Amino acid sequence: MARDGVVGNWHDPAGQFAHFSVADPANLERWDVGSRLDALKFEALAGMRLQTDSRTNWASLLVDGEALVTLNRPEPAAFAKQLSYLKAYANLRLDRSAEILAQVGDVLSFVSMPVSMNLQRHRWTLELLQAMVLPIITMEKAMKNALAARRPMEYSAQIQPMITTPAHGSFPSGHATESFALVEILAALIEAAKDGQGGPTAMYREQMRFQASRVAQNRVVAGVHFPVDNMAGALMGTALARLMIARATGVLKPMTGVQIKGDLDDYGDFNLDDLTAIFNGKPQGPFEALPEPVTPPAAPLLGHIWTLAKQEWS
Amino acid sequence: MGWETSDLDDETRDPYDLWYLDEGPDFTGVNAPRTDQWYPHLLSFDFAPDANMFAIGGAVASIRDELEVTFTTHDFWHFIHHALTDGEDQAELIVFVRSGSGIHGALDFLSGIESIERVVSLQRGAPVNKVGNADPELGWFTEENFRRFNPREKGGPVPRLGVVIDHAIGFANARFCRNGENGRESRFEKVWAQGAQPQSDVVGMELDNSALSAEIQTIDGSTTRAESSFYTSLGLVNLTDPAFRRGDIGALASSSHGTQVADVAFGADPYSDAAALPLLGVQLPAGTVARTNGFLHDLYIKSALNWAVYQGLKMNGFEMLPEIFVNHSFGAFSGRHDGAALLEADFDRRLQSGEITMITAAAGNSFQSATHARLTRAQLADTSFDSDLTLVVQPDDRSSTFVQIWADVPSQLEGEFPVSVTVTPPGKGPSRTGRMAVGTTQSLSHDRELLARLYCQARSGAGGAERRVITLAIAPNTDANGQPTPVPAGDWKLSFGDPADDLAESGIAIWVERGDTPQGFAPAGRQAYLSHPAYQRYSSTGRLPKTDAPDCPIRRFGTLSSVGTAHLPIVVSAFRGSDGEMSDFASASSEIMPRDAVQNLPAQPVIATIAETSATRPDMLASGTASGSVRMARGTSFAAPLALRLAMERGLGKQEMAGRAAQDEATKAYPQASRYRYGHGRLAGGYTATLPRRRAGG
Repeated sequence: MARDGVVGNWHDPAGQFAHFSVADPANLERWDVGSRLDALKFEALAGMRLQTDSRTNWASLLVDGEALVTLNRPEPAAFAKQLSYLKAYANLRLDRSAEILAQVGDVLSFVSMPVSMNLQRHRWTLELLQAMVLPIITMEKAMKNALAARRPMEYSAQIQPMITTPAHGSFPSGHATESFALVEILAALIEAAKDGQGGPTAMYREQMRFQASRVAQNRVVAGVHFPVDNMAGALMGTALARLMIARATGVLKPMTGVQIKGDLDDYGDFNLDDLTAIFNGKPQGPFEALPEPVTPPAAPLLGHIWTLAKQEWS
Repeated sequence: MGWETSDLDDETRDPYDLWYLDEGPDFTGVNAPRTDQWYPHLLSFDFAPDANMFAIGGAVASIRDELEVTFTTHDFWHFIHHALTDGEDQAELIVFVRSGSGIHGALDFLSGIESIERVVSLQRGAPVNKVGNADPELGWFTEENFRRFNPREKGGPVPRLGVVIDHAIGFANARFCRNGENGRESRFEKVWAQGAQPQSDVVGMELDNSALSAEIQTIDGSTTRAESSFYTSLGLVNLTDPAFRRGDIGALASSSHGTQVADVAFGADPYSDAAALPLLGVQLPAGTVARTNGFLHDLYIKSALNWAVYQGLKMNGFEMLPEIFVNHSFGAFSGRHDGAALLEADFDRRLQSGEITMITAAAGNSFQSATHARLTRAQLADTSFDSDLTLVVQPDDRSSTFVQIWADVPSQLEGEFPVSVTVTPPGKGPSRTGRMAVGTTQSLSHDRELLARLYCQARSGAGGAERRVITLAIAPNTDANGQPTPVPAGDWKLSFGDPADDLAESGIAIWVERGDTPQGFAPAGRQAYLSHPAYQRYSSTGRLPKTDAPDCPIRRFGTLSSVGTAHLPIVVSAFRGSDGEMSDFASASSEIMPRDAVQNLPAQPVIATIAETSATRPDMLASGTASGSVRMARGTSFAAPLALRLAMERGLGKQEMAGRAAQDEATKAYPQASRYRYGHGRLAGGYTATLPRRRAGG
């Protein structure tokens, strides 16, 4: 009725009409958040595949057919040996309970504490993080499904986790994967934005890494993960985040993947020293670089959001 | 089933030994003893007059080769030193004996050494898991080296040294560092972790300043290591030790007693002049503080002080003893309360000899805890006076409960406790009435499981008198899995009567031992307490009372910690900074407390210092474990180190501190309070948990 009231007689449309360019990354800004995110996720997962071997218990994430992250699942005895850490760390439950409960559903608030993100000021950054980390989570879940590692409470009734044990595999740790991925992305974004402008950008990365390490450790305190889960998750999160960053920034040079090779019987506690050394090319026990580099494929949509996000930190 | 009487096989044996440490059938402690553990024993020696201590020392040292017994260098040094200097032909030695070996073989061996007239084991303590293979440093033990040293002769400037002894201490905290050429340096000259895996040490692990500083600087320069990794990487916290016990997490917790106490006493901005004071640190094994009645840790404190004095001498080439300042923020609800118990006597001896310059001790926090009662002879003889007490034993108590009942008698009194003590557990029959004979026990069992036991023993007292003590020990009413045992929880009735004519007018003192669980440890004990119809937990206006009800045996006055009865330390109580009110928790002495033999004065706090900020901030702030963090702290545990800090800052000794406190008491408009709560006075002077400044350049 409202239309009939004002529309009047039909006139053929006049003037020139131009399309938006197909696959123009700038088109992203026209859509709603959900639609934008779906397009970005599709691009991020393109070329990714999971390869597994049930005889030797490993699973590998491939990028256009080349392995980026290969994880060997530890033997049950190796996991059982790690229970001593859960027993000891349980002493910190009272100390860490508020954090652990908050971190059940939110790690970003903790990891990003040093940079103090604001929902309005950093809206593109938040979208970028979702666009990069949600696909990483999908790949992490695929890896968990493939490796099907039991949770600590399945090894001992005395673990008695202080939160509900999530209904997916233990190895690798999702919290570690996500936390370290967030660190890589945020730190790279800030460093790129402030490149040449001075300021203590290295300290932000360092502090965010400490936060991520604490988030991971809290999962052991809570009784839902082994320390080796955290190492696997940190490796995977870091490697996949660096892949995403390379694709978004168009720096498509061959990059080295990481692998856990050999047994983890003597693995101790998760620590950042080992993680740093591995990505600097120094093998740490069973953790080492993969022999064949991976060439990241371009991701123009991610690149567009990256550019928008970077401006928020300049 | 009822109470059965039997004789004690060893009248002097401490009941706690049977309940915490014994591996025999009566053992009812929560933590079962494990193999490959080493128990400290305090051995007391009597020597023949003019005995050659160096010959004896060599023979005693050979016990390491003969038996599964060892000792540390510093404890052995003290053994020889005191034998030479005390002039009493006596000495003490702490030895560690392997579990299962038994002390008797060691005593037999030592008794066979020429010129040793008598050697007995006085007390045990919590075990450590391992001792090292290292030999004590005995090469220094020459007669010449000992004879040329006298700690009382001090000429010229004497360096000062602060000593921290506690369970969880944040050694890496910036408040215990100073700014050095290569970055942050530890102020701890040395740290001894008594319960850590021995490296090249006999018991526990020693870390020197270079190791501590190097680790701190490595962490400071690292982008991958947080400060907490200091404790795991140096072995101060061992997460994978199979014998890991709840509470061993120590300095990984965000707040730790040892860090806070040390911060109040010695903490300083690393860039300040105060950071020049060197420190020594001793980390007590977790097992020694797991039971809050304090029985398990006395020997470790004693050995820690031996170590600190020895290190102080060593740091000065054995030419001079530095001025050593120690704070003791542990306490006990029970005990002799006459200054003659192990730690109290030890503190007095060291202060008297000048071995240690100053010790501050917490007066205790049990003013409102209903864990102390006293019945005078007149009250016991008055049939109209209700002298029965109820001991409320809480459910879900996984550690043993102990009550001590003390009486002073002339030594010629027939060998029995001078008052009839009857115990009636809930739902069970009473123990035998009548006065218990010294050297006997009464045991209550159920299906051969020991539920409770009364011990009647005698101890020497002051001026030829004798002190008699009945210890009531009650087994845990819940096991480690949370299941009830046959021991009943609830109201245990304690009935007293029939006082002997020669019982001192002061009557009997009843103390319920501290039995709660320290923070961070597995739930074990719950605090038992006393109840009586005339007891007022709250006043008619809803406030916590500051006085005792006249017709109630349960007392707030007289709750001074037993360690607070040592004569020479500065015993410190607590008050509120905003208005001068005594802290609700601060224990008090009383006129009836045992008097010291020298001055015939009852023990009481020397001074009180501020341990609470205000009524709405009933705490003070002190450093958390990690650098830059701050946590709330409350208790006389923090009043005592504040007194130490103020004394050192102001260059005052004990008498001068008392004088200043008296001055403040007279000049500041504090609200009325009993001197049995604050001693000479409430000493003004606070403490601020200042955060360390950042280094220039970020």
